[in-house]
Amino acid sequence: MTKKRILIVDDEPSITQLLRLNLEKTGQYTIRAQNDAEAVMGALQEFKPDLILLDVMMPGMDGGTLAGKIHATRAFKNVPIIFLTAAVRQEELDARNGVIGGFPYIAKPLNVKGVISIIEKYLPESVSA
Amino acid sequence: MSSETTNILVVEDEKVFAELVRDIVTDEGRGQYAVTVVADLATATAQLVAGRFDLVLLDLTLPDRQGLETYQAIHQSAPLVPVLVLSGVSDEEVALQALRAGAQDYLLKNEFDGRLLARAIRYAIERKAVETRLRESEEFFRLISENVTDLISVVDENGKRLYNSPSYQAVLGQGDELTGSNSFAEIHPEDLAVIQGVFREVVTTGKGQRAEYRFVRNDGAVRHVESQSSVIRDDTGTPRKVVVVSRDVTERLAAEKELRQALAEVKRAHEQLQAAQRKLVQSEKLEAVSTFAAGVAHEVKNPLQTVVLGIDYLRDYVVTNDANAADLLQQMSDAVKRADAIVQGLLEFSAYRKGAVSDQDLGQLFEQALASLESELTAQAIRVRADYATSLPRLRLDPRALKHVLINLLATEINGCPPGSEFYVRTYLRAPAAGPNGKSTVVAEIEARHPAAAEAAVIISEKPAGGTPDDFGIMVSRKIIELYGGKVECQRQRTKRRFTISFQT
Repeated sequence: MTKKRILIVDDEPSITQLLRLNLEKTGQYTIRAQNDAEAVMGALQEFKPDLILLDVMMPGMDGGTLAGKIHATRAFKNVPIIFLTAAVRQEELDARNGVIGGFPYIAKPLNVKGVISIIEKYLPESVSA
Repeated sequence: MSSETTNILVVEDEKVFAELVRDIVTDEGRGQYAVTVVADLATATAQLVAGRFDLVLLDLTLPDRQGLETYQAIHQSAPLVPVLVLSGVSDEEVALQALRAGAQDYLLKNEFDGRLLARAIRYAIERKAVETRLRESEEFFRLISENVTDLISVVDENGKRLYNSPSYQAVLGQGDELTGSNSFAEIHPEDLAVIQGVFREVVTTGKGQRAEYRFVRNDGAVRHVESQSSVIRDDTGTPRKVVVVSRDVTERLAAEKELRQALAEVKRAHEQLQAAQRKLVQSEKLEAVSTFAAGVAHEVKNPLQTVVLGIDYLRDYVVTNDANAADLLQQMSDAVKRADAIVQGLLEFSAYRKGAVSDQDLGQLFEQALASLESELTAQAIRVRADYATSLPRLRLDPRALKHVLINLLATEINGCPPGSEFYVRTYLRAPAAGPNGKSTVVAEIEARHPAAAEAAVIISEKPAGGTPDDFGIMVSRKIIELYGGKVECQRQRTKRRFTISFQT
């Protein structure tokens, strides 16, 4: 079974590292952590993720802008992006079925179980099958 | 008529007596008297109307008029010319009547001599001149007193009215009928004792005074007046009369009162405005606190996320081997939930979002932040010297969020500096570093100094041993500025402390 490739972009190394450890431990995912938003486009070309976890607020780079840029690139326009945010409450997200402006969100802090259930919800069928 | 010649008209129908008078008058006058003799009233009045005479010697019994009527006819023809009546013993009574009617004097024909006549003529002319001058001056003052709007009143030393100008009619509703009445009668009962005291003092000392009081009219209306009194003394120098010139100031006082009320209203409105402004500044500060709180919430959530993920990761390892450790992890997990709830509350309070960005001038944001902190600056006696660069490149920022960060940073500086410090605030554009990708940087600096710091008399800042709330605030502010692509640097030395905020363009 092919492991699903997940790119995690967050300026906080402790978060990317712990997400990576927790997700890799399940044996279901291949993870690449990226703390520098500027280098994300390069990492995409190289890693070709099936799904991206993307922090909304990063110094010098707006997660929304970055997402727009990713989806504007032909090769990645169908790669699901899940935003990580510290500015929205989980209750607010639940009320909107986890989606704001067409994008799924994860409200920090969320435990591994919660993160995995959201990832699984948005992974493309062909890959998860 | 020359100034030396006195023209005398003799009206006498007895020819012999008329000539006698002419002779006497001519002799006595030593050429100064020019005499005209007529024998009847008709000729006499015609002469008086046509010519200019200085005196009339008049026999009351003429062929065409007799008695007092003769005098009256002459007087009507020339009211200003003095008349000396020539009278027989039989009509002395009529002569007296003529005297009361205005004739200067009368001479009995049988007691007549030159010197007596000459003296009577001189006196009559002189007296008439004085009388005329007096009447003219009386007329003059009457005209004044009747035409001024001020109230002119003359009272005796007991306050009894001797004269009141017609203007009293307008104020008291009474005019002429006031004469003889008590001038205190219309004074307001509350002012009466004071005014009576003032009046007694004026009469006793002879020194006029100013006073303000109220009149109560017959119809009950109250008028406010302002008076100035002065005394008229008799020959011995004793004050006998008091002249009071008053002015009705009711309207003026009412206008003044309205003005005062209007002023009070303006003042009140101004105070309300100031209060509103203070509230606005206060709410701005609240909002700054709110932005700050949002920053705290945001910054705490990331470490919480790390802890949550850490607990999840560790759980699999410890649960099987160590029940205590599993329990501990559960407690940690619960603690994180509580912390998250608190942070969530902060976030809700602040309702923080990265706001709408627009092109902003950093210097202007500084100015606004400093304006919000004016009272704090004043309280700490901190003087601000600002030097904002003109035409700095605009920055894409949420102006509210940035302003609130600046308020927090500045408030930290204000609280951290000794009173009497000076803030040097400046903005400038730093040239790009060498290289193809060099960008210029918009920089804002706040440097706090103290005049006494150079002599080490005052320590501006000591490096804190551990973390302080201020440092925490700075950390949060720094994070918010970083969200907009900026940088915060903080220097603290014994003699100065400095903040630098910079944004690459």
